[in-house]
Order: sequence, then C-alpha cells, then structure tokens
Amino acid sequence: MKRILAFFALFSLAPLSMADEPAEDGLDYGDFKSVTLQVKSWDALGEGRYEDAVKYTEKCVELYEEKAREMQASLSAKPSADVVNDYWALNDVGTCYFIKGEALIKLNRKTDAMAAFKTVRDELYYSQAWDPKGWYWSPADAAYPRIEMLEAQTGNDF
Amino acid sequence: MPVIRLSIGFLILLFISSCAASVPDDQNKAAGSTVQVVEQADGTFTLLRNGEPYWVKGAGTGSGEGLGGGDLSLLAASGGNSVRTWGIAQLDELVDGKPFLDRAHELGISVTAGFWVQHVRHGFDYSDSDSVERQRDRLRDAVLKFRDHPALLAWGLGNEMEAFEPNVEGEVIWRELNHLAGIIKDLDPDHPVMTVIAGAQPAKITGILEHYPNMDILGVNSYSNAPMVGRGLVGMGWNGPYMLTEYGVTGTWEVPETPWGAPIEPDPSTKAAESYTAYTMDRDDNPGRTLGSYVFFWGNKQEATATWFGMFLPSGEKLPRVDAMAYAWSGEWPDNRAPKLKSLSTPVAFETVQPGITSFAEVDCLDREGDELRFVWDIRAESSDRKIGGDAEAAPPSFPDAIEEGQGTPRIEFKVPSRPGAYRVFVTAYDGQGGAVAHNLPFFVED
Repeated sequence: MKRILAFFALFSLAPLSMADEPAEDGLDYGDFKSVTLQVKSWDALGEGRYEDAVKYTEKCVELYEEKAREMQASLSAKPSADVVNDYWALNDVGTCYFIKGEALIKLNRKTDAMAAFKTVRDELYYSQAWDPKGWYWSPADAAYPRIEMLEAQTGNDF
Repeated sequence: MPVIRLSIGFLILLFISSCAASVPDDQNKAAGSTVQVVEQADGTFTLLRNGEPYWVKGAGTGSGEGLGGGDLSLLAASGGNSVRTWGIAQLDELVDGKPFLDRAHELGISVTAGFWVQHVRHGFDYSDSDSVERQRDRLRDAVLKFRDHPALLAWGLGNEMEAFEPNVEGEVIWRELNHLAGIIKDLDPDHPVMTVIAGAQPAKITGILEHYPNMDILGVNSYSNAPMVGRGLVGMGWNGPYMLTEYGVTGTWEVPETPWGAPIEPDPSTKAAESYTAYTMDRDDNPGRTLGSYVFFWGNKQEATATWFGMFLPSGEKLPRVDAMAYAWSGEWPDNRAPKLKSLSTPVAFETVQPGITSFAEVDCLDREGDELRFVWDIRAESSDRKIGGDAEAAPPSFPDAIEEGQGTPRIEFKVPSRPGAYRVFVTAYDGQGGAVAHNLPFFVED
C-alpha cells in the first residue's frame, strides 16, 4: 500500500494557509498541509525511514487531529466518492495513524503500533484513502488485521 | 451459480446417494469422490465431500521449475487436510516414491488439481483458435484421467490468468474460462470448479458475475490484504463461496524498499504471525462464505529471496510458518518447533558502503527445546531476475569467500564484495531436528 495516496494528494482540498516553517528536528515538512505530511510519511515508510515516517504522521496528527475528529463526529456513514474529499483532515489523519502503525511495527514498537491502529479503527473509522488503481480504501479496515496480528503475536509465541 | 440448495429432499437424496456410493456400479466410480458446494436456505455455503462437511485446511505445493514441494506427511501431521497444485503434470510426479495423488490420498490429504490456463503474457493468444482448442483438449484429457481419483477435491481451473494483462479484455478470458468449466462439468459433475484470481477487484468480480456462471468457487490470491478478502468481496457484489488460495505473508510488492529498490523481507516471527492471523481471521469472519484456504507455499521457492514465500528450505527443513499453520489448523504447537530468530543485525544493513570493507553480522536465536543450533551465513547478490506473477526466478550468486570468520557461529566477520551493487547477508539457523529459521538484511556497495 505504499504511496497509494500519491494520486489522492492531487485532489485533496487541504487548506493552503500553512506556510513553510523551519523544522527543529531537521525534517522537511514542506507546506505543512495535511496531505503533504501524509504523502511524506508514505514516502518515508516506503524508503525504510521509519523514524521519519512516525514524525511526519505525528506532525499531521498534531496539526489536524482536532479537525479530523470534528469531521468524524459529523458523519454517520462513510462519505460517498463525490464528497469524500470534503473530509480531507479525517482522511489524512486517519491514514497517518495507519502509516504510523506500520512504521512502528518496523521499529518493533508493537504496543505503540497497536495504539495507532486502534485509533483509526475505533475512532476515525470513516476516513478513506485513494488507491490509484481506482478505488477508495479504508484505513480502519486495513488496520483491523494488523491489530489481530499484533494481538496474536502478543498472546502467542511466534 | 451451479450450487445445490439444501432441503430435506436433498438431504434424503444425499443419504441415498452416499449409501449408493458404497455399492458402486463400476470400479472407477467406486474409487472416486463426490464433492459439492451446497447453499443453505440462509444463503451460506458448505463444501460436502462424500456427503460430509469439509473445511479446507490447505497449502499450495508444487514441484518442477522453481517449485520445490514440502513434506506432505508433515502437512497431515500438522492438521492440514488438503493441497492445491498449479499444473496438471504435477499429479503424475512421484512423491515419496508414489504418484502425487496416491501419496496424498494415503495421507488423508485431498487435492485441488490445478489446470494451468495459459497466460497472454507467456504468449497465449485467445484469438488463435488452434491454441484455444488445444488447451480445451488438454483439459479434457486431464479431467478424464484424474476425475475418479479419490483424492480429488476440486478442479483449480487457472491461476491469475487475468492478471498483468492490460491489453486483453477480461471478458475474453472469463468467457473462455466459462467454456472450459463447462467441459469439466460435462465430464466430471462430481467435483466443483474453482478459478483463482490475483486479488479481488471490482472489475474482475463484475466480469465473473456477467460472463462466468459455470464457476462454483472463487479462489482469491491475496497477501497483505488476505484477512480482508471476504469482507471486500461482499462490497464488490460477490456473495458466493470463495477460498483464499494464496496467502501467508506480505508480498514483495507490498513492503517498503531500500533506496536501491530491494524489498525488505519481514522477519520470520512476523511472517508466522501473518500466516496465522490470515487463516484465523478468514475462518472466523466469514462463516458460510469461505470454504477454507490454501497457505502459500508448502515448499521452497526463489521469489526475490529464497525464503520470502517458501515454508521450507531447499534442504527440507521446516521454517516457523509451518509451526504457525500447525497451530492455526490444529490448535496445538508441534512438539519440536523451528528455532525463533530474536534479532539479526549488521552495521551495513540498509546502508550504502564502500567496496571491500570489513564488517560483521550477528544473530540472536532461541531454540525452545534447547537443541543446539548451527548457523550458516551467506552473502548473496540481490536478485537480478525479478519476475511478476510468481514466474520462476533464478537464484542470485553467492559469495562464500566473503565470510572471513565465524561461519557456523552466531557472529561473523565478512568482507563486503568489491563489485558495486546490491547484496544481502543471509543467516540460517538449523536445530538438527528438521527445523530452521532464516532471515536477511540488504546492503549496497557503492561504485
């Protein structure tokens, strides 16, 4: 699922108000838009820069989680394709929690990974991500088997 | 969909026919099995084998080019009950000195017999009527030859023949598959037809629903998404029975890569947990829709690395995923488990380094039964023969002289190859009891 939001990024309606700012941790956060952070975190994950991936996702969460939760609370079902981009913060933050979980697994921080996956599964479950193959997918659904796998690893000696 | 709706009348018929099976009217028929997909009144499905519900606890296995089959007796001992093959010729090959089907039957293992439907990317042309007819003839011959074998569970008509074919209209493939399935049904009404696709996608499901009514069971190969296949199928409009036909680890195309494009292989414990989780989630989340599954791959196979998908080493030792599936299938861990790899490290991992430098690598392994472990290290070039769709790949060259000290122990010193390019350091720990664990880390030698 690496970089599968690259296409989605082109259509995100994230606000343009965030100006470039220097980052204290040395990472390039670009324009700080939620979609930028989300794409950067995918890229970092795909390149094996797991610590960086976590930082990008955490920045996205720091800046946009409140808005994402507001959007989630306003919904009673997954938004249809024609309006899904209206929920940009929810989509990007939900996706970032999923990416964070993936990166944390690689860093062998499985408890933290579980927490990240559970956040998207249990709290941001209407978030959606675009696969350039032609459909939206659900980070919450994708998180579900990861949680099961982590729980299996916790309860069993693999 | 040609399935049977279960009713009292059907149950009576089933009882009569199962009684009749014990008084066969010809010798061949007596030896054969009867397998049906039955739809209950509530829309759920059951696979019946000789009248009994049959839940598939299976594995894909093979032989021939690039496919080394694993130990069938170990599959049975692990709680597995079925295997899936890809090509019909495999059914004639000898396993433990006996024909494959006979040996499977002897072990109580059923077989979904794969018939390889040719792929366009391998040169097949659906507009060439001679080629199409030859394929149909080969199928007829195969069905007539094997339909009465008691190990036969189902026909696996094609594997991923729709994948990687952007220039072929799916409809052409589905229509031909429907014709081929019709041939099977005419010659062998006692075994269902399953066709295996490379991942469930809406366009494929739509094509199958519109053009392939002869299919009884949908087989889906899926890796990182395997546990979610059942849920996804419903959303795509597929309410029929299905099986996971390849699953078990995250695929080489689904993982992070190094900056030089080498896929990073998940560690053995994660792979074991993935296999276990995919099986149990599919089973538990989709009752009455999934008929079971076939884990990939009961054998050894070079695909990106020699250890990515294979559950055995080429020398026959089982890897931890075998134990995970035994636990999934039977609820019990085997008495003697494959070793556990706790960590593998080297300063060159994921790095670009200068040619010829000396480095080290070390591994921390546990053997739960206290067996003494033997460690074999290997410096190998990155695979340069990567293929798609599981096509056979050549193993990359090894550089045994690169290991300077410590071969056989948990820590080595090695010399980075002088030739620029991508490499991996592999370690395999053997327990001397038929178990092993293997892992690798990639590095790159700069120009």
